[in-house]
Amino acid sequence: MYSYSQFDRAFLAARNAQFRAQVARRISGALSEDEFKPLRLMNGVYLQLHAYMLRVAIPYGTLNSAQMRMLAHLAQRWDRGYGHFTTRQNIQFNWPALQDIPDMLDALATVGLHAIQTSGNTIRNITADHFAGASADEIADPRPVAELIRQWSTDHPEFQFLPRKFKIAITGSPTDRAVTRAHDIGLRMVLENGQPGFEVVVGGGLGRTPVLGKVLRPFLPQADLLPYLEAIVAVYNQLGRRDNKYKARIKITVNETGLDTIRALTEAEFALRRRQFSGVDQQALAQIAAQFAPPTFAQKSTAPYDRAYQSDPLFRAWADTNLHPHRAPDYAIVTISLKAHGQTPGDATALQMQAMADLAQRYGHDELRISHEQNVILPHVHRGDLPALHAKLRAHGLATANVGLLSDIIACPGMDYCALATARSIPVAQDIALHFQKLGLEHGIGTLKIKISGCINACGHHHVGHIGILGLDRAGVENYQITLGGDGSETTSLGDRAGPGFAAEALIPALERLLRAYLALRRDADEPFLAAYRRLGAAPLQRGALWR
Amino acid sequence: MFTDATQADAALSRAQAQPNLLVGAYLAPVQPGPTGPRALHFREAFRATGPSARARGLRPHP
Repeated sequence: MYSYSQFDRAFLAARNAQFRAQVARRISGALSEDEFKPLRLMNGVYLQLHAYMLRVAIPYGTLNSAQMRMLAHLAQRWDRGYGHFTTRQNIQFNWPALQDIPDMLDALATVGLHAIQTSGNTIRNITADHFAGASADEIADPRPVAELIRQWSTDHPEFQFLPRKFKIAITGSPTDRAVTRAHDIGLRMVLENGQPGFEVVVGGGLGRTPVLGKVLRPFLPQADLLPYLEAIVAVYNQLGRRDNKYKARIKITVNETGLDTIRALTEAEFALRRRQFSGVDQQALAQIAAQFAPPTFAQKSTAPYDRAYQSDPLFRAWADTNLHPHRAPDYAIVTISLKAHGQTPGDATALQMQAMADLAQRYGHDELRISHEQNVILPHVHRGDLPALHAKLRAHGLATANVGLLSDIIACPGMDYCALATARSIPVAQDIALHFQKLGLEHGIGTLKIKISGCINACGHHHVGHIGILGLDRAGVENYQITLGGDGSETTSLGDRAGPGFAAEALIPALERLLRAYLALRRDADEPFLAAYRRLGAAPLQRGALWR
Repeated sequence: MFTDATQADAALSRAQAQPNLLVGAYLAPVQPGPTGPRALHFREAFRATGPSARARGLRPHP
């Protein structure tokens, strides 16, 4: 993992000291909230429905155990004993007192974490495949490049006042676990003549105008990445609309300007900027890459795994859903579900965070990942250690065997916390999970991604849910619009709106009818919901569900 | 709780004149209830009582 240099530490200390002084001015009354707002947003501090909220960046979703312990410490000491992992691989603390936030930021800095550019019209935290550096299907670990982009984009003088926020996602695998086509820029590692480079996708995004990104360059050599990214963002900065915030994202710029024109402008800008980089970025990348060397994998027996798999049904159920193949055959990637039935998706208590840190240190080569699906990953666990790990996860309420299933729901904070929300998300997710747990249908239904947003800004990624749920306010009453057939993977698609919305009390019965119709209509138990939807279309499922 | 629109507007103006103390003041419809004013819109109800999800949220672990 990347360790902060002296330069990084000095930069962060100075930045935190500056913000501490501005917080003092706000508390003294020298600054009004309106005057303070741009200053706090630059440091990840939002004002939500009930309190300030601190959003901490988790670069490309990677943490070590010391960092996870620090997040637990923040939750315990300055918040209400829990934190919320988000769909942007970040963590949010929902209840900090303003006067404590400078201390929280100083504490984070001791472990190389910060909240810079987790808000505002800047390049936000770089997100990445949460299995990066571990997955068997990967071309190469994309995190060194992600770290290079983080360093380049942090406090970049040209890009501190973009037309709108700007999100970059990266994957090193052909299997897209980073939803790259739903980002302002998506980078997908590809090989050409044995050399790694990137397919560059631009202009994707969800929100009120969902658009799938378009290929700007099918292959960009890795050495050209930073000047090319800089060219794209510079073109966007020049062309992006500033008259209407709802038309200001690059997806609108691309659609209004035309992809070919954007490409030509980017290439022209790239030709100019490429000369300025002079290889410094590649030297930095080489230094960064050395810090992402894979761990030394243990050589020992996997017999404990085999024994537990044969004899312990609970372990077997968990292993079947929560493990993913690792590039080292004796290892596995473990997904720790933060979706216990009835739990707030993505929430973890301070004690759970401490436990996960301890387990990462003991069994996971000191690494953890946060997924955009709001779970925690231990990327490198020896199969022989899995039974012991599972037992400890169970003791902390962290062994729910539901990854990729119906109750592994993405949900934004919704109106329980968010000032922008038009309806609640979390209780809907809780009720769905509990309802289908009671019915005992979850494992029979199989792979199903439900994603819930509490407003059209789509933080819950509902457009790319196999079943998407959008919460709206219809004449003062919560109403839920369903979309079907969305997909955030390498076969990306946006969901189709499935008729008028449902009142809150009608939503879950409608979902149950829909899923029973799917069970009746699917070709066999191996045909997942999304495949059945693509084969059949919406009408048979909706008819079968007596939807309307 | 105000039943007179003029009085409500005046109270809002007083609140908005104190930007260092009060943030984002606005008027919201309420009804009298046995324990005080009851918000008519669910947004203000959650603002008054806190997140509805917490009651059913994190399960205490053993």
